[in-house]
Amino acid sequence: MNSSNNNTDKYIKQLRDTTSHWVKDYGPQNHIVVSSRIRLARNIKNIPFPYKASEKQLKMVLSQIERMLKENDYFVNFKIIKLNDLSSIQRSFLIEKRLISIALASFSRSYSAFIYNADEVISIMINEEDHFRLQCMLPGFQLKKVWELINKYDNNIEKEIEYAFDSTKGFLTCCPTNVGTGLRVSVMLHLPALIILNRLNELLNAISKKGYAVRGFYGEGTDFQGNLFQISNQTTLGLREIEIIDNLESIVEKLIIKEQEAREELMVKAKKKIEDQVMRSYGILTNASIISTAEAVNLLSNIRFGIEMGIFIKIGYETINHLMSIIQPGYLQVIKGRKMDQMQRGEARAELIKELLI
Amino acid sequence: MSYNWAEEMPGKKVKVMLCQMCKKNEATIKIVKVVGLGKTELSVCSACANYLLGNTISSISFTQNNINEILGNLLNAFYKYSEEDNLNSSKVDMKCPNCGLTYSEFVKDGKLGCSQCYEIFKKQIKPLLERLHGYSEHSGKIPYAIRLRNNRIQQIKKIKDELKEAVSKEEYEKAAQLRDQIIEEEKKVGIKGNE
Repeated sequence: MNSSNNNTDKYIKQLRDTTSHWVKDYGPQNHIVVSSRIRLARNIKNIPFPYKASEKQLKMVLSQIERMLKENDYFVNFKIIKLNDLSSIQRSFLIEKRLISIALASFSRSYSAFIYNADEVISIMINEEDHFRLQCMLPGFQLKKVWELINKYDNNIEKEIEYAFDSTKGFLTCCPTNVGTGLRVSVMLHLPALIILNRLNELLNAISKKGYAVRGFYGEGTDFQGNLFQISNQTTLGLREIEIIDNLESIVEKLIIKEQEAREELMVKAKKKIEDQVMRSYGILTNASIISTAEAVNLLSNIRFGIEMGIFIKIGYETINHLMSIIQPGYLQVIKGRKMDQMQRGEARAELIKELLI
Repeated sequence: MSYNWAEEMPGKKVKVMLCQMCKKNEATIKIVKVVGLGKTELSVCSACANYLLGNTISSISFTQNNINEILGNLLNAFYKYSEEDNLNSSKVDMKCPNCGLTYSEFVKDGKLGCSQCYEIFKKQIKPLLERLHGYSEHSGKIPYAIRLRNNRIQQIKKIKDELKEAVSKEEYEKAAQLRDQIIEEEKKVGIKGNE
């Protein structure tokens, strides 16, 4: 085993034992907005995008980042993990931690990697669909702050590396869907009351019609689980970054108001029923011997709802956020340190939930 | 939500005419395909447009995971149509000389291979970008290196104005200084530009 492999195992263990900032800390409007995230797609001038780059060129892209990690003060505390050094379980673990994308994890090409800082607030994927995908994530609803942060890192990189850019098309990206600002702004919302009152579909349809994407917990191509929804922009060209952010913010603000109204209505109309559902969910989670991810996530969402409504005060959001991550298949196997089949995972999951909830 | 691909481009008028495919219904949608220097147009009714572009498009939700699929469908439909209808046009697949990406690869994957592809496939990409983003010009952040260059160009303009003024006032010593300054600044911009 070489040294980078050893480092990778060490880093994975550290990641296993630490909780991301967005998981453990509170942010504005946290009772409805779980997290705010922005990513920027960037490519280096004169090097083909990873899709058409040679091995040598991919290596060049990676070495630029490695050099920055050594020389640039901004990146002094960042760690680097190369995809080639990872097992498939470790890859799913990192997707579940929301540090890397499904696309990066499934690439079999060499010289794909990612770097991340201590709180896992900033991470950069290298040689994904574009040379760089910068990501910043904070708890709650605070897109402006996320933008401020990620923009600083972007400015810092572009002082050293010249990006592929065109005065009319903006930042050039592999897929025309990202060209221009290369900006994807997304917010994760917990919307149980709108679901219960059967009002969400209509709202999400209207939002989609305005040109926004609605996705599940893990982004592209994932299911809706646990009443969690990610809303993000699709338009990346023609608007300034701050306009894109403002537009998404106003959509999210409206959704927050609608969810708030629905919750108040439920508290008047069906308080006992909600309370019963929350307590039953707690009952199952603290007593089950085998549980699937989907069931656990939905029951945890019910408990989160209980916390949000002030009817369940035993635990906080951080425990729910944490549990929602660690009960996922990859994370679970990294914690247990071995490969497990579905049945074994179901048992281990039930055990872990009891440990943290009781 | 529905991806409103079929929506008429704002400000453009569609003449009342019969669908060129079924020749029955009124054509309400104009599909324009641009290849190289040639442009082909097809006016169809919405049913035939649906058939042409795949019936998935108008009804499925427009989320990121299927956007590439939609893109692919759209490009494919254009591609097929022109191949069938435009027998006289050259059949040679366009190719980017820098990265080797062919137009049919782009149609298949919806991905571009390098910055130059944006130039090479400019005509094909333009209507696509307008459909995707509505607007077609970048108004966001400009990278540091380019900002620096733009600032220098502006600076040069300013010095040139000063130079004119100096000459008109017959301040030749000052003018000579300004001229040297311009040469110096232009060198910097030139070096940047050739990199």
